[in-house]
Amino acid sequence: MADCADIVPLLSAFKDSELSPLETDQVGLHLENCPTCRETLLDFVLIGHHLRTAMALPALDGFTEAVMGAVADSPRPLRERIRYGLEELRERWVAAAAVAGVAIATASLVLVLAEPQTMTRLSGVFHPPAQPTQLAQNQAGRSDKPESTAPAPVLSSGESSQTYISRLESRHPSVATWSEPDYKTTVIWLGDDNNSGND
Amino acid sequence: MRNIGRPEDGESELVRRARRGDREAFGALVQRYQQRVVGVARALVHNPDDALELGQETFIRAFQNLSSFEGRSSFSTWLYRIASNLAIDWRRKENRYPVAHGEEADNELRKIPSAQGDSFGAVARDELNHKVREALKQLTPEHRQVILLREMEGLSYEEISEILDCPKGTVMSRLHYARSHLRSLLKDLQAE
Repeated sequence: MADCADIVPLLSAFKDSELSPLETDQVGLHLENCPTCRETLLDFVLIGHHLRTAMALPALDGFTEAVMGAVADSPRPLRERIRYGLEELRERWVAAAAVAGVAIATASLVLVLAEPQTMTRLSGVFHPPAQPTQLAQNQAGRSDKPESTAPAPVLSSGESSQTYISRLESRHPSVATWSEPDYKTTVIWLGDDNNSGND
Repeated sequence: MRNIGRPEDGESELVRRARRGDREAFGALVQRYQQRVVGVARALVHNPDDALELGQETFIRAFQNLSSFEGRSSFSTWLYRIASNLAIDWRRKENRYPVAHGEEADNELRKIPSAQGDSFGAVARDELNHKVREALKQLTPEHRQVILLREMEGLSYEEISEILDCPKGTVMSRLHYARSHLRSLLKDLQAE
C-alpha cells in the first residue's frame, strides 16, 4: 500500500476526478484502509461546499441590459462589418452557384434525353437488338405464299431473336426480306446465286 | 426582461447569428453565460464590483471581436480567456492604484439574501460564510483563483490551465495547496 505522503498530494485531484485510472485505483485502494486520508478528502469536499455557499453570486439583475446598452453604444469595428459583409456575399454566391449548377445539369439531362437517337440507344441498352436467326417459315395466312423449296437461310445460329425473315421471294428463293423493328429498317438479303446471275 | 433567446437555439447558432451582427442573439448569449463569466471574473479580481464591471467588459470585447472566435474551443472558454486577459490589465491597474477592497467586498457579499432570514441557523451560516471569506483572503491570488475557478465555476483543470495560461500540473499543485491551506485555516477559525 502507498504511503500517505504519496497519496495526500493526489487527494485534491482525486476529488475532482482528474487523476489517471491507475492513480485513481491507487488512491481508492489507499483510502479504503486509511481513515486519516479519508478525513482529509472529506474536508476538501466540505471546503468546496462552504466556498459555494459563502461566495455565491447575487442575481445579476440588469446585467444583460447594461451589456446590451454598451454594445449598442459601441458600433462594431469597420473591419468586422466589412468582413461579415463579404462573408455573407460569398455565402450567397456559393448558394447561387449551387442552384445554377443543379439547373444546368437538369437542363443538360433533359436535352440529352430529348434526342431521339439517345432514346433509341438507351432503349437498346435495355432491349438489345436481336440477331435475325429464325426464318418465318409458316406464312400460311398470306395469299402470295411462295412454294419455296429453298432452304431457309440461317443468318445466325444459337440465339433467340425477335427479328425474323418475314418474306421469301418465290421467284428468287435466295432472296429474303426481313425487318428490324427496333431500327425500323427493312433488310433485303441476296444470296450468292443472285449475285452471280444464276436466276 | 423579455426572453430574447429561444431555448432551442444552440450555442453555435446563436454565435453564428451574433457574428452577423444579430444583437438579440448576442443578448441571448449574454444571458446564458453572464453568471459564469462574472463568477470567473470574481475569481480573477476578487471583488464583486470589479467582477461585475469586468464581466460586462468581457461581453463587450467579445461582441467586438466575434470574428476571432473560430469555434476551436467552446464559446464559454473563449469568454473566460477574454476575462482572464482583461483581469491581467485590471490587476496592473490595481497595483498602480491600490484600493482596499477587502471590506467593500465583504459588505457587497453580505447583501446576498439569506434563505432563512434571521433565524439562528442563518446567523450561524453567516458566521461560517464570513470565516470562509476571511480564510480565502489569506490565500495567495494564484491559489484563490484556482480554487474559485474549480469550486465555484466547476471548470476542469484543462480549462483552468487555459484561462490562467499555466500548465495543468501547476493547476493541480496550486489546487492541492489552496485546499490544504484553507483546511488548516478553517480548522484554526473553528477552534477560536
